[in-house]
Amino acid sequence: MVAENNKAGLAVKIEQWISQPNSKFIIRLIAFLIGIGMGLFGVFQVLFLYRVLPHGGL
Amino acid sequence: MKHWLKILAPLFLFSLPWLLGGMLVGSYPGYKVYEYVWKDAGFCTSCHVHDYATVGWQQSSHAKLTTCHDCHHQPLHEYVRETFVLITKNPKFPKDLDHVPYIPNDLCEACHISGNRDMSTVTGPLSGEDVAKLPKVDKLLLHKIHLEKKTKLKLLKEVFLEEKDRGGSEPIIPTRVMGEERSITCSDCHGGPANRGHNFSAADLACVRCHDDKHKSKIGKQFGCRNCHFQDFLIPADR
Repeated sequence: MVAENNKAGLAVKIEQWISQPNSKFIIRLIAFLIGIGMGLFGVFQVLFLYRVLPHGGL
Repeated sequence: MKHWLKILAPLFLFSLPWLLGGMLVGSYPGYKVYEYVWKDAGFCTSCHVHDYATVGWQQSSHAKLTTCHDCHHQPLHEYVRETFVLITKNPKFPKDLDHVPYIPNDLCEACHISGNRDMSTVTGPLSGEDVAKLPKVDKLLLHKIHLEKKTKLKLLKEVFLEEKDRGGSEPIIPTRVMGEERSITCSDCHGGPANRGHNFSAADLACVRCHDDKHKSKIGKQFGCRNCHFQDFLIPADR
């Protein structure tokens, strides 16, 4: 019961934080940075595997 | 759970364009990292500093024309195994390398044989046009003769190297252990024991492995094999 209340409390806090005007900028920034990481690693990984896999996998 | 979905779903949709924008921006540096890792020998030589392979390669005619990955191909699991071996055994080269590296002919053939060869693995700085201009060994007189001949000498990779032969700058005297008849390979003469791979110039020691009965007079010892026979390896076979 206590744990459920805590979870609900956390959800409410997050909801409140999201609704603040400043938080939108932070969310966008974090999404953008995660995107850069995904793009960088993803492109590298795909090209690397494209070169290596013809010679055998795991 | 539904409550969380209600919060996270719009959050995800809200940040999706920025995530995609970031992926687009990140893909270019991702390609540059791949280019550096795969196509730039500087990536490999930043760790393989001053070892015999780097020095041998840098002194060879391949130095400015190829990169490490033109010839070094291995399955994915080998990258995992190498990391494991590096951590657990930390081998030192060349003293822990107990055989001469084996270079399959198809690696050389990608650039050095006429006709349509599989060049998909060649990543070096040479363009397809440049590779087409390289001398094709099957069209060159003594190369062609050697490629058509057979030998009973064992492949150098099958010969165990004694510890005394593994280091130093002295060339290793090639062994003459006999085995089953086979075609002569490129690495019988190029990148053999005399220079342990990476510097692929042929050495006289490779010639005498088979031709030890020729020129028993002082001439052979004084002038070496290639002083007289080198040009015959480069003249066209159909002359």
